[in-house]
Amino acid sequence: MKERLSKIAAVVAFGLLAVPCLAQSLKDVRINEVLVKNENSYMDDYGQRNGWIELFNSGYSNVNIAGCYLSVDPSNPAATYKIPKNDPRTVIPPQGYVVFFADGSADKGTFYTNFTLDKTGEIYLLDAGKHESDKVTYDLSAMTPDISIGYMTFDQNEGLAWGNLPATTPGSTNEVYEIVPRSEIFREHDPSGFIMTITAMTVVFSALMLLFLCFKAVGNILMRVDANKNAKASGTAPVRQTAAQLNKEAISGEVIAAIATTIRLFEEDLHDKESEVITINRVARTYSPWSSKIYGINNQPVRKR
Amino acid sequence: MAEHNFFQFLGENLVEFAKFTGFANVEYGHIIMILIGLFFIYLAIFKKFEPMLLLPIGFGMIVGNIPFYPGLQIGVYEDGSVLNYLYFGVLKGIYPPLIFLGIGAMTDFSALISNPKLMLVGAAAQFGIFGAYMLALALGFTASEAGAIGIIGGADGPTAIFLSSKLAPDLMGAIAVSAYSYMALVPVIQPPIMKLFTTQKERLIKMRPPRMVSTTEKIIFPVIGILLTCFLVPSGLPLLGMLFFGNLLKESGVTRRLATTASGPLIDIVTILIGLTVGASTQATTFLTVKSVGIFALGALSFVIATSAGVLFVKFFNLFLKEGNKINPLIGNAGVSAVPDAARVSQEVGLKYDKSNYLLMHAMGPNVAGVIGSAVAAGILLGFLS
Repeated sequence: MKERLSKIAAVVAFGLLAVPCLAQSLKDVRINEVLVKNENSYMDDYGQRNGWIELFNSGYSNVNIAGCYLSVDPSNPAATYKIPKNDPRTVIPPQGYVVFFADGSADKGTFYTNFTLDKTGEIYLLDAGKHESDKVTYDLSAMTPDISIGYMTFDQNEGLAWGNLPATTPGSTNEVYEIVPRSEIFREHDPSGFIMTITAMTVVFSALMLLFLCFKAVGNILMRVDANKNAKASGTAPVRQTAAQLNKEAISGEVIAAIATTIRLFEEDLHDKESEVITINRVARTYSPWSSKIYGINNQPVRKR
Repeated sequence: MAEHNFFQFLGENLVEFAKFTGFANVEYGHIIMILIGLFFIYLAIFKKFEPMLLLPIGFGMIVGNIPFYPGLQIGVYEDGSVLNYLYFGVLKGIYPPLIFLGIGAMTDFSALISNPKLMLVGAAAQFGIFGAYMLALALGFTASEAGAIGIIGGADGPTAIFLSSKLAPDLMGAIAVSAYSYMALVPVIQPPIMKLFTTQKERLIKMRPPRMVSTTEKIIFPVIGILLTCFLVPSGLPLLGMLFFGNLLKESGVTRRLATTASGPLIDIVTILIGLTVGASTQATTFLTVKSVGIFALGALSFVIATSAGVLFVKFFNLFLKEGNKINPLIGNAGVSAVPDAARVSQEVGLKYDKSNYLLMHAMGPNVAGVIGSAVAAGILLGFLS
């Protein structure tokens, strides 16, 4: 029994340890920028220039990457770095960044990996179970000193793409060009707003026209079904009334006004303010141990022998 | 000596305290905004102009313009203040869909279902939105700002707040106040336009009474409504989704408690919060600008365009309708939404010309179609400009 309990405890403990690096939330984290050859660029806390990897949390909740792995060769433990636990800095805030220096030394702290970037041309981000979460590849021979590679919007119509960046931006967005909002691009093509008006009104009319056609059809079908039902019940042929007939049978405005007036008068009669208010309060002594005689101080405790 | 120190200390303390009072920090802008807030409260209480909205907004204006020493975490724009937390629902567009849920749960679409062609009147009135959009562009507003300003013409407060919070959060206060003010002034703005564009003969048109609508039709309406409109304009989903959901709660007949909550306590709570915080967001520093003046002018024009478009569209539509099926153009104004005030205006103007011509139920058709239309238009603007 004890053995079984300890096994369960071990499984639970393993599960809890794996919690900081849940696969689902890790999907929000991507390898965002990499500098392989660092000669005159970003310097680490030890005053040295090494290649670095920037991770970006593209999601809208914190992601703790403790327990996850960074690697340039997952099959080689010497080229795989486990991100330590118990360091609050491994929690990447929403839309936040962290930078790892790939200097090949595993004893400088959380953000220094045990591998360098000039060996394989691949970088992996692995979850706690060593499953691949993100991966980037690069041509080692094409790497230029101090030119980083990463994701950026190189073309407004293409979205994010991977390539050489115009500037190294560790710990911040890779977008260094001024991004023209979509609305302003739209305005360039339609300065007067005329095209927008035509387009939008066409869509609004289409939407409501669809509803109109749909409900005209639904109404007709249901009315026909009703007419058939009534005809079956009365044993006569189904009759659909024309607009003129309906008009004839319609309740006149005067009758509607009379009904409305009656309802109004009736509702007004149910007024909240009364001219006279009679309040009847129930007089009753509510029981409470505090006022009860049986708990009074005159009742001396009785010692039972 | 000790006594001197005591009084000196007391004096210094009082001087220090005086720095934190509103009197020490007041500016002309605050006074102007507080006066506007008081005017709104006056309109709400004594003139009964949209009291549910103008009262919270007016009081919110006072709350937002009490001068204070910055950094005390009390202002609506100060991180961590209670008002800031409440304002979050406006800023992130949370309140408007909740209001739409309530509107859906309290709206009877029977008038529209019984005469579905009235939906097109609701579509025509959306010209107000895009007319104002074009004018705003011409006046030099950015495309996003122009879109947010244009939606005032939809005459739908929650939609205006929702769209402006996405497209132009800086202008949201002015846009919301402008939208609600003109909605309150619908009985003043619309009748002259309705009279201008209609003839005596047209005003006397008697419409066929709406037929009885079955429960099945009422249940089908929100389901088909969301499928058709949101497949066409998915960006309108937050508003249209909640509107039709609320309506299904009401019409299904099996979720009476949910429908009652959505159309009662929920919408009341959200209305209080949205009104107060939108009012409080009109701090003099952000509100009293030249842009705000432009927004108010464009807002008025958008209402005029929307009303005119609705009335003129009905006249045009009548050219294709048989005698007996014709629509009274006096219900064209109701396409601007502003439920139910715009429909009430149709009724009152109609009764002026014929004491037995009751247009209210007919006007409710384009009125609720206007709500759908303005939400669709907001979705389109959001899709193109966000």
